[in-house]
Amino acid sequence: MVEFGREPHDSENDGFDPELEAMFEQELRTSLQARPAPEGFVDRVLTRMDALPHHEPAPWPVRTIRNPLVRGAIAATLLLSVGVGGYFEHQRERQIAGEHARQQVLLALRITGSTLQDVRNKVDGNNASQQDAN
Amino acid sequence: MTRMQRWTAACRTGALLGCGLLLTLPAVAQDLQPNFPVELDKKLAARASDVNEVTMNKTMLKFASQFLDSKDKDDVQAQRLIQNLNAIYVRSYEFSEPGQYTPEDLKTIRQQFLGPDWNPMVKVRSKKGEGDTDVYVKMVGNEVKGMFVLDAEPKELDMVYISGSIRPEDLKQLSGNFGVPNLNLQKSSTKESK
Amino acid sequence: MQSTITNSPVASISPSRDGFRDIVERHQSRVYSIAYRILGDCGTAEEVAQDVFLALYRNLDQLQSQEHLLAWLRRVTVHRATDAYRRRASRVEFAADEFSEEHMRLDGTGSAVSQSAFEAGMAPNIEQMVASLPPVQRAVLLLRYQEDLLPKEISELLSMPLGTVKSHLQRALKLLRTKASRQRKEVLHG
Repeated sequence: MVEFGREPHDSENDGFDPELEAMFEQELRTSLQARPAPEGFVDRVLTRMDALPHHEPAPWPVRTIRNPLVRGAIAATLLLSVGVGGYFEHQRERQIAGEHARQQVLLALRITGSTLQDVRNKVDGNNASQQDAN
Repeated sequence: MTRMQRWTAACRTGALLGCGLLLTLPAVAQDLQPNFPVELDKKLAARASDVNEVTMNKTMLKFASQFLDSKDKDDVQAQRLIQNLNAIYVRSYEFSEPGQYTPEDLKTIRQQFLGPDWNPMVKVRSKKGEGDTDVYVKMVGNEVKGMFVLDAEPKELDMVYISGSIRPEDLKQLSGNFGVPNLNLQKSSTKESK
Repeated sequence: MQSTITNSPVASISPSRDGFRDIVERHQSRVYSIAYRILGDCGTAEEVAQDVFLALYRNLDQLQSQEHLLAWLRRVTVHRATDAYRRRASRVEFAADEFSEEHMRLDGTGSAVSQSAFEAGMAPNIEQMVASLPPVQRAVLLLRYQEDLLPKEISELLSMPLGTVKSHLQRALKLLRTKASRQRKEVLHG
């Protein structure tokens, strides 16, 4: 593999020698290693994914119907029901995801509250023992 | 002045104003989606018999707030609390026996809050083995922009990290609904039990 | 729906939820890093990264191999991130500066809240310098040094002439070398 940039770099070295240049590029590679995504990223993607409407097509009847008007009507009804059903399905999934998120918030605040209550109890307990000691 | 010149001047002015505004905001980009700062959480979770972990960033908090019930007292309080927050992280670990985390682990966690922005508000050390407690508050100017609580007991370890604007009255609001005590943020309490 | 990603050119990809989770886990760092380094802003980078994966989910049946998926992810992430950058051009410059200042402070004091061991070990100056490049040069540089693609591969990925790719890389490297040299002199002379 030909190392990129040997020729142009030689003519635009600006005083950098090839060895330093190689080290610089290596430092670039090291510094630009992929950084971790934020905590919980995967879960957030999946939560949004769960809220997406599904694209599964509605099942088509096996027997064909010859009358074009009837076929058209059936096709239109099926499309409409897929559309409406898809909308409600999306809403339902969004509701489920939203309820889950709501429960998470309330759980977080509950644990925060009880943790701070423990803190308060310990601080009060210390105050009481110091007063007793005095 | 031609239209193009007027447009360029307007853009320049707008950019300068935006520049001035943004320069006064402390590390906004970094704060919008902060990570949970404690690196030991996965190690601790592996040793725990029971784990409760909640990770809610600004996007999730906004999404959740759409589903809080305006008729439910807790939900209404929650809505008020989270509206100015960037993130809430909760890590609650229960262990089947004591000794699943070390004083070194706690020291490592505390060291992450020794920066210039963080102020220790509460520090309780128990020599009777009842557990240690720390509360750190992140001050930006005169505003509280973050809070970290570490509550360590022999068989339980709880950590709460909140990023965003927290007012003392916000914490007071939790009282009675989520069992939060009145923490006086004007005075720090640094006590050691004897 | 169950199948796994293969390298067969005719196999289609339509994983289960767990399968898709695996895909996200495997590629989240790559996608997020590209977005973050183009945008310089955590929040927008995560939004863009999430959007990329959701778009991937919608288009999975069109992808036929692991290589195809990887190329798709890189291309779409670069395009969406540069689009987002253009929409927020003036704000992003400052976000990059704020990130840089925050990062310098992290390394300078060694005791502020660090997001991860990875970040604690990163050389802030290089990333700061990369963040100061124009977005297209940044993108090309990332594809070269983060993703380890050859200029020809970058050219195909971005549908950009090979000469243009090489030119971006040359200018970016020259700029970075100049900045690095200037910083070294500042350090040496105090």
